[in-house]
Amino acid sequence: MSTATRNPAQNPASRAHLSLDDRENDLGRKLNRESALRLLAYIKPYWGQAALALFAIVVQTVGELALPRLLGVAIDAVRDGALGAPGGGRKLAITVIIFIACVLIVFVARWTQGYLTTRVGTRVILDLRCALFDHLQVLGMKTFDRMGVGRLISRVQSDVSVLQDLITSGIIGLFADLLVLGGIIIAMFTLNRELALVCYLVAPLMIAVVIVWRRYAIPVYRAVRAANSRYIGYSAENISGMRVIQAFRREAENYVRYERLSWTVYRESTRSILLNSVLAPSVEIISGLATVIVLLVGGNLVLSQSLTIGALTAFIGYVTRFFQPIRTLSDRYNTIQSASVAAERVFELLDEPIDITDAPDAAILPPIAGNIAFDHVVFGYTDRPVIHDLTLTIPAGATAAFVGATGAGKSSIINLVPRFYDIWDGSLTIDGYDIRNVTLKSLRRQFGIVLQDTFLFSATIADNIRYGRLDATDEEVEAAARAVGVHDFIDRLPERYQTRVGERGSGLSVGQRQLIAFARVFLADPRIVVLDEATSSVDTQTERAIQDALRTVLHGRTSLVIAHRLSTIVEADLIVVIDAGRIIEQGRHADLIARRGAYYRLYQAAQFHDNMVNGA
Amino acid sequence: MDSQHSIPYLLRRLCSEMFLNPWLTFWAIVSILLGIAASLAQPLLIRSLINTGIANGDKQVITEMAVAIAITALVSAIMAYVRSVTTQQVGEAVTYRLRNQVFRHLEAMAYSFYDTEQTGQLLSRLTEDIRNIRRFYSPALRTLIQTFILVLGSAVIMLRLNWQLGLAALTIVPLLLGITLVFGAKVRPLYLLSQRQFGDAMNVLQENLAGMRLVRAFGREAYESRKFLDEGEELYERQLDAARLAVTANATLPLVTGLGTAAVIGIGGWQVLHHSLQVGTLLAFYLYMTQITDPIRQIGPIVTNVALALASTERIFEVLERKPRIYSPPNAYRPADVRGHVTFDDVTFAYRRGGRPVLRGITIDAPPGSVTGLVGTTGSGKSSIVQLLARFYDVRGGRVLVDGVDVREWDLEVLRRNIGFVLQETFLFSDRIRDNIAYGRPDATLDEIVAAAKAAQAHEFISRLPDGYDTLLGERGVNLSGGQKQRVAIARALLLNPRILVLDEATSSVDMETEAEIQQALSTLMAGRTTFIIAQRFSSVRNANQICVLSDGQITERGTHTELLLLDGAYRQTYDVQTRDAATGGVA
Repeated sequence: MSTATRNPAQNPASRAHLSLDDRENDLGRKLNRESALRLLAYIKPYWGQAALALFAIVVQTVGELALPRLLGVAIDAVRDGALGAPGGGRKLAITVIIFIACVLIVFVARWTQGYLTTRVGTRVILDLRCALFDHLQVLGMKTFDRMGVGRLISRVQSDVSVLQDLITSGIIGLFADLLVLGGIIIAMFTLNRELALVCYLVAPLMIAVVIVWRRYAIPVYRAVRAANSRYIGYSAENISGMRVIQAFRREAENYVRYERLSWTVYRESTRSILLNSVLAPSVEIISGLATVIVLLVGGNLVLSQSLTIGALTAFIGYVTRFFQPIRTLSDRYNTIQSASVAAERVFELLDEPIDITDAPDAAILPPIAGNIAFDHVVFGYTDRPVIHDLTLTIPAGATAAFVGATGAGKSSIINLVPRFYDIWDGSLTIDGYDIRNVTLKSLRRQFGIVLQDTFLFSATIADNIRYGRLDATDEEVEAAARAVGVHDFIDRLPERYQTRVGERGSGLSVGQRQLIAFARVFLADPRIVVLDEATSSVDTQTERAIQDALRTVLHGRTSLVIAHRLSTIVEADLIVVIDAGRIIEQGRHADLIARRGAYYRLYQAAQFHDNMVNGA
Repeated sequence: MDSQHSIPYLLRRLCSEMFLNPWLTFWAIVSILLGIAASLAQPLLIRSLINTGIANGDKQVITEMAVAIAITALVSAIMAYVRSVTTQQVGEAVTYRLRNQVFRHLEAMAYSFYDTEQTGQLLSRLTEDIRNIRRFYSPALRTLIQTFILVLGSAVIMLRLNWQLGLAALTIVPLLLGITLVFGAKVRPLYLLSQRQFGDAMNVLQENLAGMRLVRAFGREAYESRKFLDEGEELYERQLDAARLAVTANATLPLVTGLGTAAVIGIGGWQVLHHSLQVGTLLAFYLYMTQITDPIRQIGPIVTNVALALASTERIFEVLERKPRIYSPPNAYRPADVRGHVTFDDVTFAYRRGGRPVLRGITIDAPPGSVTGLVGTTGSGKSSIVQLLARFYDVRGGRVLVDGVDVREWDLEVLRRNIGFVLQETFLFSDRIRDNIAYGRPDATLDEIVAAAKAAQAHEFISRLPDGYDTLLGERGVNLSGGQKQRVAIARALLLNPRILVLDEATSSVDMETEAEIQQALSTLMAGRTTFIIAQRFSSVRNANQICVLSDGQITERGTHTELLLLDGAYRQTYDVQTRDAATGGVA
């Protein structure tokens, strides 16, 4: 990666990307239809379970709404019975039995819908995560450069989790709420038309409250979120930079700034509290109002014999229940809001085009000798080329060492050969095959790669070496470790090859990690090796071990090395000096020294670079 | 770190914090009590409306009761608002004070503290733990108090109305409480398991992305997808395990209430048939049962909230109770003029008390304006020496003197103001470039900043940035290359104009050409200052007035470059290895 890609603000094209990503902060958007439909498509494979869950919700709602009505029936029965009507006891018994049956049905339905929604929701989320993961495996490196690993992880991790909330609590919850509302409206209407209509009078009041509340709440919640993220950002930076803060004695100054941000969080939260406390009491007042109307009007209807006292009781039960869904509305609204942003981000990533793919008529690259030829190659990351008209031939089996300043274009050049990026112009061939005309799989299979920051997976040492060739036997793994001289070290570990190495290979020294990476490449036995030498300094003994291992690994293979070790450079078959995306010198060490040009000057400076090691 | 507090103590601490806002707390309690009184009154009023109003055909009573119900609804709503605002406010106020206190404290902690604590962990004290404590006040404490009084009040009223029916209705209380607590306790470890599995799955993702080039080069895309799917399937199973239990609890609680209600309807209905109960009272019982069910159901999650809050409080106290080890003494030494004479006098140092000493018997005299080179392998103690100088750590034995005064007697502020650091890893803040250069002197003018940047060879590249000196650095801004960062750091040190300068591997993370440029900037910086150079690279220490070769915490050789070569020791050996390198092109 060159500095060009790391400095996004240096050119207008990548600035456009930046502003695209900045839109992430815009939280006020609605869940658009397209995202919703795409999400539905993920539910489709489980439509049977989803349909059953919806059916269970309907059953649950009907069962629950039957309960107040049954109470009413029971009250009417016993009241009539008390006044002397026959069969009161029998009617009461039957009603209680039906009541119990309803409670049991609700239990089963509630369990079923709860379990199935979680099951489908969790499954859909897993599918979505895997789809994202698979897509990331084929996306071009450009996306990685632009978005950064951290942001990509948060897409798969947090954004998808938010979608899970949307499915289980947002959509399903909303469906259930609407069902309850509709059910109560119907139940009341069938009980007594006039009383029901009077009750509906308060409904517009409720809708008005919610609309007004929403208008004020959105900016306030957004302000709280913004204040919080600034506060967290500043805290994080200060904690990780605490040593610098103390070295420059900025404690008091930074505390003032911290306190200001902390105060903003307090102030904004306080404002949001005043607002978030409004909805529940409003609902309470309006539902109280509805109860009073029911009692006044209903009471008089009972007196005029046009309503039974049991029906009045059922009405009171329904009115209390009517406003519960409205109370949860604000929560649902928040869930759907944040989910819509998350959905858009997730689908945006899934839609990210795959820029490097096999050509339609791509051939399979046969086992190669490894002649690499750059012919007038031009390449850039955004709108500005970083490699200009580069022509270079690396014969099979030769080691080419690339030297030059940071940002000169060394990494860009070696990244082109395994086709991590496509060239803009010119051609790049291996044994005469244009790399764009062969399948990626057959091309990359012939490569081995060692990164500057040696990468080990959290797995056993054997697994890490075997990553080069999954079907290698234990003996082959050990042979590879022996070949690069790391076997003795591994052998001394408590669990030998089965020792687990942690994240980023922690627990091992830099040198040991590099040797394991070499063993991995050695086991894979590739024709071409791409190597970005680590700059970090190690002690003399390890340094020698690494140099020996390097010779073993590079022997007989075409290799492209971004070299930092003097020994690697000096021993290379071909030294390529790069400056500003162009080759300014190339040749063997002795020739270039004799020429007294750019390489000579670099070499002189570098002589003082090797480690100053005590007691070597 | 072993500051274990008892649960009652932590609860007392949290509650006493609350009384620092006495009026908020007072209104919170008042609103809770009045709100509950209004809620308890409503079913009674409805009962009277039916039993006396409707049963006797008394329209007057019906109207009176309806008005009374309207009033209780209004009171209840107002109290709900006051309660919601005040209880949340208490949480905000307490956590506002607490997080500022924690940050202040973190600023006072010495380097040894940051050696053992992780950034992420400390940050979560200020974010997650603070959030957990806020939730302790609202909803946790509020709901607990409310539920307790509400259930108690309902129980008294129901038992007085009709004790047989009251007992039947109240049987659901212990059942609900038992179920929510037992399920809560069982679900929690299952959630933890699924959380852990989630971490494992995300770890696969994180490694896959970080090692993407490797994955591509070895053609392991399908293998990686399989690995992720396997972890995902495992996660799915764990999540379902937890969900099964949670869903069961969720369905069982309404079942209990439903069966209890059926019992009350059955018994109450029978009583009505036999004229020992009026229908209005039966309805009141039904309403009381609905009223207490929801709060009791919430107790399970609330108990989890309280447990989380207590654990968080404990973690915050752990930080707050760590004593800052390094601070200025009373009557500290604050000279008007610092010369920069540094003396290490038989210094011994270990990072932990009783731990393996990393420095032993270190004696160095660095007169004002001199350059001292410190060389040696990784772990030989080079960096520890300069950290003792700025008193980031205290010595275990011996003394470090600046201008003849022990650094422990210096005013920390004055001492550190006179020491400038340029380190291997340059930490820049997400701020404008000019703010980063003026980091040690926030009052510097732009002219001064530009002058410093020019001297540090940074002016040229800064001018080429889109917004020049106002360019924002960091996550939302521009990332500088290693060499550029290093020059900003040099400008920062220049602007500070310290008497003593520490260059700790200042050029080891940049490439050869950049180093040449930085060397030039460094020589400007070093002019006339007492300088300590820590280096693995040879060129930077060759011209030092004295070079100390460190091995395993001791100075084994010292002298000028020429003297050390003549000494024919370790320094000479390394030098020979390097010169042989240059001649033959290889170490071997």
